[in-house]
Amino acid sequence: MNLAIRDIRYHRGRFILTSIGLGLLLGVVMSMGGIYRGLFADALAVLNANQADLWVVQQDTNGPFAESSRIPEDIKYRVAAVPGVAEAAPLSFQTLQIDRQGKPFRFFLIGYELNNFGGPPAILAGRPIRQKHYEMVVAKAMQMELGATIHLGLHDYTVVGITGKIVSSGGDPAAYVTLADAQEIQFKKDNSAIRNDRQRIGANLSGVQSLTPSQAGFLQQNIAEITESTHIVNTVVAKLEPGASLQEVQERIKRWNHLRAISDAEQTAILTKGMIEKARMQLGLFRIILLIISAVIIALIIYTSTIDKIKVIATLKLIGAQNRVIVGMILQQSLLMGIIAYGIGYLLILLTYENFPRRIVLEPMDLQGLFAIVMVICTISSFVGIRKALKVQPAEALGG
Amino acid sequence: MYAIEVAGVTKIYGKGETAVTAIADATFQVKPGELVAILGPSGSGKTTLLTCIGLINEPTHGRLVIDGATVADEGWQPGFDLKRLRREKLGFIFQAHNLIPFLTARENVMIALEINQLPRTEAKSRATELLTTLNLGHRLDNYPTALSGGEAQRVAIARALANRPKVILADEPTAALDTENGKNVMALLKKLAVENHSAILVVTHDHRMVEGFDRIFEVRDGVIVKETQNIPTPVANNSGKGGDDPDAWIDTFGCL
Repeated sequence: MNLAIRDIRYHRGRFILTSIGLGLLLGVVMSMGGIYRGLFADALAVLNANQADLWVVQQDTNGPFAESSRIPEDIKYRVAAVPGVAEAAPLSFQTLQIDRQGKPFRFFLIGYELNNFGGPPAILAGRPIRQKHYEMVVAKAMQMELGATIHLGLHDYTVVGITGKIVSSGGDPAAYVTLADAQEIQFKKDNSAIRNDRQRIGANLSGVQSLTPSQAGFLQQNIAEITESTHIVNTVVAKLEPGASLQEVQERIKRWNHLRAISDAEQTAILTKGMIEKARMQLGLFRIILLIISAVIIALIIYTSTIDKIKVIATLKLIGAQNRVIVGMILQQSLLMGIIAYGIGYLLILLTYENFPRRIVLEPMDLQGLFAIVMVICTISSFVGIRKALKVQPAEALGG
Repeated sequence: MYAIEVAGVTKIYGKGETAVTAIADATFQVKPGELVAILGPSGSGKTTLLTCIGLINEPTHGRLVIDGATVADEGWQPGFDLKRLRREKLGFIFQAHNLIPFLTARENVMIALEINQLPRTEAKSRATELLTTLNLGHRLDNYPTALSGGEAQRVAIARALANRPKVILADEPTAALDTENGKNVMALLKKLAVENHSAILVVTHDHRMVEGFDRIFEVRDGVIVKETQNIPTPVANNSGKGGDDPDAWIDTFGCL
C-alpha cells in the first residue's frame, strides 16, 4: 500500500494548493531560464539572420550593436574587392521610438540593399520588399498587419511582409526597409534644418579672407554635400568565399587604418559576453535564489507534514513498520510534490510564454536539468522530515 | 508455555540522584487465551510496564519472555529483530484508537498485514473478513473521521488482531469511550482472547471496565501491589450462557 498516495488522496486540497504555489515558483524559475536563453537568442537574432562571416565597422569600436559605428556606404566596394570576400552588403541599424495608439513603441529599424543579403531571413506572410522606397517588412512582434502604414521621418511606410522573431539585442522587434529609406529616416534633415545648416556654414566661411567669393561659394557647396550626405551605414557585412582565410581578410582590412573587421565569432562574444553579461548574471542569481527558496519551502512543507503525522509514524513503528515504509512515505510525497509542481510550472509557462514581452526560449536541456535539480531539492528537503520521523519513538503512540 | 513471562522486570529512568524507578521487580505470567488487566492510577507505571512488554522500552533489569522466546534478560537479547517480533507476535490497541486518518477502515487493517509481508489481495480479503466479523462490513471504505468512537476502536482491534498475534497489548482502550461502548470493547476483547487463544494484557485505570477479567494486577508507584484472580463474570443471560462464553458477554453488554 502506498501511504504517500493515500495521504495525498485524503489531503488532496491541501496538497494541490501547495503544489500550485510551488508550481508557480518553479514556473518563475523556468521563465528565468527561458528569459536567459531568450537574451542570447535576441542578442544573436540579427547576427544569425545575416549569416555574415565578417562585420566591417568604424575603427576602435565594437560596432554596430555594442557601440556606435559610422562608415561610408561605398566601403562596400572596397570590401567586396578584398581577395577571399564573396559578397559584401552595407547595413544600417537604428532604434526608433514612435507613438502608437497613445503609447510609446520602440522598434529596431534595419536598412538593407535590395538584391543583396542582410534583409529579412524569412517571410511568414505577405512578400519581401520590391520597391526601392516606402515599403517595410516587420517582425511578427511588431503586431502590425499587412497593408498597415507607419510614419517615419518624412514619409509613410507600408507593411508588405511579416518576418519571424527578429529583435535587437535589447529585445525590440525589428522592421526592415531599404537602405536608402533607412538612411533617409536616419540622416535626412527637414527643409528648415537644411536652410539653417547652409546659413551657418556660409556665416563661418564669410570670415575667411584668403578666399575669393567664388572659392568660398565652391567650398560652401562641397561642405554642404558632405554634411548633408546620407550615404552613411553602420556596418558592411561580408561573406567569404569557400576556403578563404578569415584572418587574412581581417588583416588586410585592418591595414586600411580607419576600419575594423570583426569576425562573426568575435561579434557573438561582444554581444553575449559584453552586452548581456550583467543581465545573464542577474538572471542566474535570481534562479539560484528562487531554487533555494523552493528548497526551503519544500523542506518546510515536508517537515510540517511530518510533524502532523508524528502519531501516525509512531503507530506505524509500534505495529512493526520498517523504516523504509516511513522513509518511503515522506520521500515519495516530497518527490510527488516536486513532480506535480514542476508539471504545473511547465504548463503555466507553456501557456503564457508567447505573451511575455521578451522572448522566452524553453530549451529541453534546461527543462530536464531543472527537473533533475527539483528532484534533488525534493530529496534533500525531505531529509529534514525523514530525520524527524526516524527519531519518533513508538511509545509516542501510547497515551492520550 | 506462557504467552508472556515477566520476571523481576525493573525500569529505571535517569541515573544517580535523578534516577526514577518506574517499574520495580514486576513478576507475572500470562497464559494464552487469558485476559489480564493492569490497574492503577495515572503515573503508577502501568504504561511503562506495557511498553517494556511491547518491546518499546528496554527493561533495566529482569527477564522478559514472549511466546517462549527470551527477548530480554538484563538488557535486550542479541540477535532479536524487535520490530519483527512486534509485527508477528504483538498486537497493540491504543487509548485513542490511533487509526491512520488518511486510510479507510479496511486500509487501516490492511496496513498491518502488508507490513508483515502479506500479499495485497490476501490482506484485503483478510481485512474485509475481520471487519465484517466485528460488524463493520458496512464501514469498510469509511475514513476514521466518519466512524463513531466504538466503531473506530473496533477497527483498531481488528488491526491488532490482523496478524493473529500471540499477545495483544491494550493501553487504556476504553478511555475515549463512554461506559457502554467501553464495556462492549472489553467484552469483545474477552471473546477474542478465547477465540484466538491470544493473551490479552489491558492497562486501565477504570475499575468498572475490568469485570470478568481472568486476573487483575494493581500497580502503585511502579510496584505490583495486588493480584486478584477469577473476577466474577457477568450474570448469565436467559440462555444460561456466561463466564468465558463471549456470546454471553455480548448479550450482557449489548450488541457490538
